[in-house]
Amino acid sequence: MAVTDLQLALLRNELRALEESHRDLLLAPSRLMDADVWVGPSARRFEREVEGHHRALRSALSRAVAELQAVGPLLPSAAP
Amino acid sequence: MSADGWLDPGTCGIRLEAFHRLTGLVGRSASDLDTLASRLYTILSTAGADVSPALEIRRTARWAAAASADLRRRDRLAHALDSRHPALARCVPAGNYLRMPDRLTDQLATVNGHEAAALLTRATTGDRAALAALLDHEQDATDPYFAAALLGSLGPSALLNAPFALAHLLHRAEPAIAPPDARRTLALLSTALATATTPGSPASLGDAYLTSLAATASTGFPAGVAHPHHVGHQALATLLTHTTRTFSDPFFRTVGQSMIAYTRHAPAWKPLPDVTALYGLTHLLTPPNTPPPADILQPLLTAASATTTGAQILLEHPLTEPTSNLHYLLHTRRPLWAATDKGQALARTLTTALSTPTPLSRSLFTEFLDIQGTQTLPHITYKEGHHLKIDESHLNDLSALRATTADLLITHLDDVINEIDAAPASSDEGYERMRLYLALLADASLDDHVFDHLVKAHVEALHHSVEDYTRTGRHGHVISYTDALSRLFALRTEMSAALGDNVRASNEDLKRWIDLGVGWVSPSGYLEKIGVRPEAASVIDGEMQEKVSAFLFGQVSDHSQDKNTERERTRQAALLNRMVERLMVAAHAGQLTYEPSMEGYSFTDGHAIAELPWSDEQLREFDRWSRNDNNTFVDLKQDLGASINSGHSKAIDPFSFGEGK
Repeated sequence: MAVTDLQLALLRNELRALEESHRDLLLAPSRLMDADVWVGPSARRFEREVEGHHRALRSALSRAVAELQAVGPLLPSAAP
Repeated sequence: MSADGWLDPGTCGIRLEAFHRLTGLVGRSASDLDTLASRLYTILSTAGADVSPALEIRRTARWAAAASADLRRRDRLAHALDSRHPALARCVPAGNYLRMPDRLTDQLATVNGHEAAALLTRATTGDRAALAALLDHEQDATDPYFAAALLGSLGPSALLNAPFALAHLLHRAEPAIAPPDARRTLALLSTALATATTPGSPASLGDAYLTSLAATASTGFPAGVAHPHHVGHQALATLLTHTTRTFSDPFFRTVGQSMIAYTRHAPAWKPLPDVTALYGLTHLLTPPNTPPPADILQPLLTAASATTTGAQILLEHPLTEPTSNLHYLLHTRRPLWAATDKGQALARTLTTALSTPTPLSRSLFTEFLDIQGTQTLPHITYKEGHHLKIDESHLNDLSALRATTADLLITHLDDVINEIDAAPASSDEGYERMRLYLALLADASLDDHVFDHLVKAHVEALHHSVEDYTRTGRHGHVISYTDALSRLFALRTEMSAALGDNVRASNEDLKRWIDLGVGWVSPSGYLEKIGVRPEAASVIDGEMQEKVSAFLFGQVSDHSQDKNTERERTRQAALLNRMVERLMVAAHAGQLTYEPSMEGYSFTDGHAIAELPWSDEQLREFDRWSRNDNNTFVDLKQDLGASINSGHSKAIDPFSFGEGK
């Protein structure tokens, strides 16, 4: 399904906002783990996982933005 | 050093407040990520773009949801542990941590263990609901984390107080608890004790706990009363009575040895009952199929007999004592065993500790021989005419030990026989050791089942020596084992006579033993030995197998009914001779090939062995040839006869030593 320029612009805006607001969603847990709130074998495993998912989240959001930038050609906006 | 360098293996540390914050953060992240993934999918798919970034974020959302659930469980367990056992907290430079098992299941077991400790405390005051809830944890007692938490939370004093408290509840006119529930509780505690004190588990309570338990067990109980009349070891013995688990070597080294040390120095020389006997509850609290202990050392010895090392540790020589525990248990404590179980529990421990082919086991056996032989020998004395007299009352002090004595003599049979054979006819150490062996054999032969066991072992050894002889021509062992068997029968006969049994009964016994001895070789084995190949032997019909074996076995029993032997010793000698002959014939048949001395016998066919099946006549002729014309056997026959004929006096006369004879 194709979208208009306007619709695409709105989607891009929304996506950028989402990227901005969610890119550090896992940063706080990661920092708490850095601060050794939980230590031990399972804690080390969790710390590796949270860092991995933090990076994966950022990467996924960046790719989503890039994907949306690359979308086109678009249908012309409706005539006034 | 890493941040968790201070942790024991398998444990983790949690800063409670911050961890709770972490749990909340991850939980919210999971929800936010899921919403984000959904919205992103919509945006990308609406724009016709690749949706894989949205799918990737959904995976992260799922991970966060699972991690959040795990963290919430850990958070709840950590708070539960902190509220029940604040002592688990530890302050290190990085902060104030709560130490707990790393794995979630172990954390749960730990929390349950602490909960069980609280339930036990309530149950021992008569709270039936708490007792029922405690027994829900019966299966958990084998979990090291549950067991360690339960015992760690209780501490040694509360653990040892529990049997007293349960007995007290049952002792009332209207018991506050049901006896089966009390037994299950004791079993739970005993299992937990064995589990938590086994080294190797990260949850193991370790030596410090064992030392504390041993020290507490030597103090007055029930705890909390003004003038306690009992001692913690009595409760420990009750717990050991209910064990279904194996206790560790460190347990026996610390707690077991402490219990023995306590009895060594106990003020009164009388059996010390466990808690159930103390309250007159043995009929209610003793586990099924377990003899009620009359003394606290009985359950300890029984528990130790489950492992060789555990049993050996109990018999060691403590540095602080003048004699070994083996000496104390076997000699010093003999009057107490005489008044209780006749040494039954001790017998179990000795059998386990002394029966392995190790230098330690051998050394303990030597010590056992010295102690038990020395205290048995004075009660068996020489009587004119190569007979014996016995002091029956004292010989039976440790009557339950006879089977163990026989087991040990059999385990070390070659050594025993060699030492007896090598003993010089003088008063040196070797001669005295021979007398100790004879005393033990004589005493053991008083018990029918034990004697049966000894005869089987001797015949088995003789049988092997005969087979070896037919292969190699070396007959030394045949003579030695024939001597040994002859000695055994002589001792049995004279001990039975000394007890007042008539000679006829003794001879009837003898016939039975010899039949048993010859029957030791299987019928199919005989078939193979008389020339039938194993594969053919297996297809010969049962009737033929029966016929051949019945013929060979029948020789001895027929002879035992012979009326020509008037005196028992002549009868014995004849029977023994006959038995050795049977074994020789059987063994020789195994090597059977035609030889010139067989010429003319009906079991040959020209210059070959006749085909099977043989007739009765052929079997009888084979038997006759084997005993009369088989040169290998005829050479040995004279020596065997001399050995058997002198067997009686060689067994009995050493008892006259020291009596001026």
